Amino acid sequence: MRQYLANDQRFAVVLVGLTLGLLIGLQVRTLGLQRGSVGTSRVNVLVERLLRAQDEIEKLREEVDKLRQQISDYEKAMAEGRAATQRMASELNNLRVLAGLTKVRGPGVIIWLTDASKPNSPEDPSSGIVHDTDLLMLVNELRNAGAEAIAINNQRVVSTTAIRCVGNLITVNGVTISPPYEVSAIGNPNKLKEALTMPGGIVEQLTALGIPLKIYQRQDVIIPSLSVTPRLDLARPSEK
Amino acid sequence: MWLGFFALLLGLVLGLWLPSIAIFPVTLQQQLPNYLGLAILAAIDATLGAWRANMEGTYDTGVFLSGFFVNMLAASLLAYLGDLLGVNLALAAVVAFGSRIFNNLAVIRRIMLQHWRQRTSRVG
Repeated sequence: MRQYLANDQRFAVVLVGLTLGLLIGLQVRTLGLQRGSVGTSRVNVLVERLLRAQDEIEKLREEVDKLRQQISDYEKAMAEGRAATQRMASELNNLRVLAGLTKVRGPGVIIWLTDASKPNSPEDPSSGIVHDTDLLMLVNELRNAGAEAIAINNQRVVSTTAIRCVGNLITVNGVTISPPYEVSAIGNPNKLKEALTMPGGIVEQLTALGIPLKIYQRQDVIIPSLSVTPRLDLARPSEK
Repeated sequence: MWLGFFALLLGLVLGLWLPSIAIFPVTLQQQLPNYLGLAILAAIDATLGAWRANMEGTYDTGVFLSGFFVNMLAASLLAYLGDLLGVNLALAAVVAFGSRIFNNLAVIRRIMLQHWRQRTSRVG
């Protein structure tokens, strides 16, 4: 249909073409801009975004709670660990005192005794002499009265200490000691003295044999540590 | 004929380029596509109508131009009114223009088919 267009027809074609193109271009462009920009998004898109953000906030809050809980757990564990360490340290200290590994001081008694210058009964010459058994009984009595640390002539008496007669001398921890004997013990001074001086007790028996014996109550008794380190070769801790 | 295509192309470029220099306020940019779509529909309808009239031999430039712009404005105004009233009047315009576009296309198709058959029968 090739034919000459009249002037007004040409004008109409140009006008219509321009207008239609402009409109289509504008529409495509503005729609594209709308899709691309956040600010002009439709309400439901924004609502969806808001909901998603709220979800995320909720999730993050839960995570914060979880992490806070973890922190407090760790803190508690740390405090417990510190408490455990302190407990272990104090226990260790107690055990060292009991094992005689440290020099200790505290209130207690000092018992001074020595051999009698002349025996009470002439028919038994050994009756006025302080025997190893006498010292053992003394130590036993002190322990029974709650003595926490005991030493004989500065030889610490612990669980492995042997007190025995070698010839006419006495050894404590394998170290020879000689009269006068000085037994020091840390514990409640009154309780210790009462235990020793009770009727029929060790002091009464010894004084009856003519052995000179004195008990001093002191607020500050110093007891040295063990002079030898006890050996542990065979004994092993057992869980059962 | 080519003049029309050139004009269309120029208009397209202009339309694509104009919003990129941002001379429209934001609210207009938000509202524009709602009415512009209808206007485009009306324009396409008018163009197809003109084509059909041309084929039927009843084409009139005045009728075409007036129909083109008035229908465009009317469709946009109708949609705007619908928005004001809370009734989707844009739908009415879409249906009307859509059916008319298909009508016009059908007529054009039939006439072209006729022309083609006449030509082939004359040659054969």
